[in-house]
Amino acid sequence: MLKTEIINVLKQTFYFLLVVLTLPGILLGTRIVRDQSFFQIFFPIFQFGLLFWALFMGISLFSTERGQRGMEYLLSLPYSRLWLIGQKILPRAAVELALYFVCMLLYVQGGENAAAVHSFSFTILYFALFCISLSLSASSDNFLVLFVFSLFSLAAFLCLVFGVFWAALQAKGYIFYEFDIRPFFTDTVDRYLVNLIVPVALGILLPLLISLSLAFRKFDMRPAKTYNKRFFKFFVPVFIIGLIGSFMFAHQTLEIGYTRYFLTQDLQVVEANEYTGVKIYDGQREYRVNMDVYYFWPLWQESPFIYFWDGFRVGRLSTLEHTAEILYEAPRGEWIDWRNWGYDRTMAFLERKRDYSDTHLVLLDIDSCDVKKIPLTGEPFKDYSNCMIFGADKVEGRRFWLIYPQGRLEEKPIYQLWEDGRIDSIGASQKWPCYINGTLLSYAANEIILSKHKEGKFEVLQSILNKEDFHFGWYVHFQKKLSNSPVNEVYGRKIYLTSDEKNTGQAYYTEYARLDLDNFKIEELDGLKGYLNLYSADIDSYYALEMDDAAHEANLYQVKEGTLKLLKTFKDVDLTSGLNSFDVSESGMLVKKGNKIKVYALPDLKEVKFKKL
Amino acid sequence: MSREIINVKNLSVSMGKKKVLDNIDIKFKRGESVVIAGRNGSGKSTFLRCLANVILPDRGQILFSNGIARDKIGFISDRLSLFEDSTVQQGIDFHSSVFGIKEFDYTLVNELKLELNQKIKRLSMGQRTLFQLSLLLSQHPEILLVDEIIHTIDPYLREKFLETVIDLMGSSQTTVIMVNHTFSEIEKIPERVLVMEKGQFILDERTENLSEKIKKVESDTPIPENIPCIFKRESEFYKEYFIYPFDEGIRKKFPYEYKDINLNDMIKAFVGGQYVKDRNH
Repeated sequence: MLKTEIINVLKQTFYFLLVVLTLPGILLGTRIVRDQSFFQIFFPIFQFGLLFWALFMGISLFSTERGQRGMEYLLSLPYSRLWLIGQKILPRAAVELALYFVCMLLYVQGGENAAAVHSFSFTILYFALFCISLSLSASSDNFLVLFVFSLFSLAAFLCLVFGVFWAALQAKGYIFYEFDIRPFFTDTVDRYLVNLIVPVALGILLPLLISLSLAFRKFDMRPAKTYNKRFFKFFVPVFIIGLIGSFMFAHQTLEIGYTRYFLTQDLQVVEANEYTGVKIYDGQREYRVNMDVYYFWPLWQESPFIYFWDGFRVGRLSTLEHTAEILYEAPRGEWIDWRNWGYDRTMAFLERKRDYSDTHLVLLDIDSCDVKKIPLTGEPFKDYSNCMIFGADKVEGRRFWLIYPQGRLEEKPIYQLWEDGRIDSIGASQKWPCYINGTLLSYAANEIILSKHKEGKFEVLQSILNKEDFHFGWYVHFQKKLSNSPVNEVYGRKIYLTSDEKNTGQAYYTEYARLDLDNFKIEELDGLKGYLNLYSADIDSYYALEMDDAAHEANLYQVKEGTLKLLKTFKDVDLTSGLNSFDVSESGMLVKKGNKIKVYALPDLKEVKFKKL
Repeated sequence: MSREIINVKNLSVSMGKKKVLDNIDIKFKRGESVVIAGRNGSGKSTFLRCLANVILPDRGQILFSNGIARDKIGFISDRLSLFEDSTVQQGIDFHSSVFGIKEFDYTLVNELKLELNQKIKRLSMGQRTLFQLSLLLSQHPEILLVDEIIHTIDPYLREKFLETVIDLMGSSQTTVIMVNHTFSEIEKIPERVLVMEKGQFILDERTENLSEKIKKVESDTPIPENIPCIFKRESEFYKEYFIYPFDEGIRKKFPYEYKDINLNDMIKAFVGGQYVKDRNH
């Protein structure tokens, strides 16, 4: 019987292919369509044709027997019902898969530009149509009824898939996510949606196929109503389970945007995601901050406030009131650079248009919200529009900020920007400089140049031999924002550059050293290998997190005066997948493993429990 | 004719709200020839389809004795279901491949002078019936189920059909269960008569016993009501009564002329009696 079935299916497939191959030829030959290649006309016809073909393959499962009045004969054959339907489905499924692969092959070989439907959408629609039409094939003798009902079922299926997605979005609090199904049909679908839609679709389609196989075991010559009743008896509970399962899966796996966690000075956790907004967790409760953010990046803390940046606004979050206020918003079409600097009660940052033109230094008084803007135009900034602020100070009552251009690792000028708008060039550096204890550290070849402000300008004090080319004072990690309190040490890393990486500025850090800021001696650190993050928790306390990929472990050290003290080892970590992350701040350490967050308070690393996190 | 071949237990089938077969318990023996009669819609064809696995019971079981595989059950339905767009040869090839028939016996096909490349839908009713029978015969069936087709074919083919069935019974000890309305030509075939009514068997007798148990009385006047009468026809001048179950005690007590009747009339009496029952109910 299988042989007969295969022959029938192949015959039908041949006629189908004949039509889809002939139609473009007719359109071109009769000049109904002009100025397009055969493939450009053929491929969209082929895609749409395949969708209808998938539908046809399913609903025609018993059309031969019904049309030839052979159903009774078929059922009287010495086969079980499941065997019968298996022999029917197998050749159809094989042809469906084969044609699908042909379509995908053509898609990647140039069909993408000619395609009527995007490949992902096509895949979902194609297999959904096949499964739906198969499942309904025994429900009626009327081909037209099956056809129409299948199309309605497809619409219902799509509504359910998007409905599950929408429900999961709501349940997970993605209140700022703009749910739009149009890209599913017209555009590339984001990977997270692909990873989500396929299992959800399966969760909704599989009940149909399961119900078909369960109900068909008792299929016979009685009116379709009897079979349909039995089908729904199985379908309803299996479908409910499938739907709940799909929702739970979606709820479990849906992760849109990037969720950042930030530990406050008073051991609360701030969670920020551009689609869920900002939430604050204390040990017992979760608080939603009534504010939409495009992006949340904490700048610094001054308990109970956290100053943050979100791309075009600077604001302040209160961990006491659980509210947020915006202190400054950039003019329309302009962005605020996140590399800010704080000194006294002034936050300084660069603001510019998206094309990096029209740059200003903005000085924001964080108490009064008064703003002063200094335009950065003219010669020094003509070639270096993408600058960062790396230091600030006051000399004879006048404030200045230090600015260095971003970009390739090559010698670039350092600028001193005064509050009155005057710009001085104060040297150059091959790497990002830093400003510590009123001393400017800049870099030449194998040399660290120390400069200090004297009589209105920076003067070189001395240079230190930096044979191993260590880079000290990575500003994000090492500098406090609101004051330049004296520190006696700073840590740095040795940058290894390959010939490929030289131009991109990327580096792979493997060795670390300490620079004593009293005697300016460089001392290499032993015992730290592999990829490392160094954190400056406070003005004089440093922590190092060493990642050992081979052992899947992370070791947390306290670093003080060149010595390492192992505080804790975290096992079963995987930093390559992005599912594990660590962050050390003033108050403690925040560890993210998959969806689980754990907080350890410094200095004793006692775990802090959060009920709602 | 000694071993049980089919055992039906508590068989029930419903179609929608209507119970078509109602808790049937019955057994059939190897080599037995059985005819099932009854009113239209009584469940005869449904019962046969259950035996053929075309309809699956809602409750109950149909047990075939050990050694009876599904491919040893042949079924000819009143719809003469086959793949009509296939040719005769294609039909033979398909059937042979399914039932593992190595050499098909073309005797009947040749007798009917069927062209092998002729489509099955082009065959006449009688040709289709005999063609289907030839397919079933090639399976060497141990059970043959025939549903209400004899009366639809011409007398010659009908005789051909019956001869073949009788040969089969004689040579292979095949159990034959037929659903039929008329018995004039098959009177000699069935050993057992079943009458079905509202999904249950109301009569299950061996043919030779039936002729002793059913008698007819013709009278000008009504007969006493305590004579068990399953059916009567009463007109002004003529009255006919069918007595069941008849025994010699009734003859002694009520000295009427009790006539033997043929199988056809026996079935008519049973079926007619059910109609009367329904009318009076």
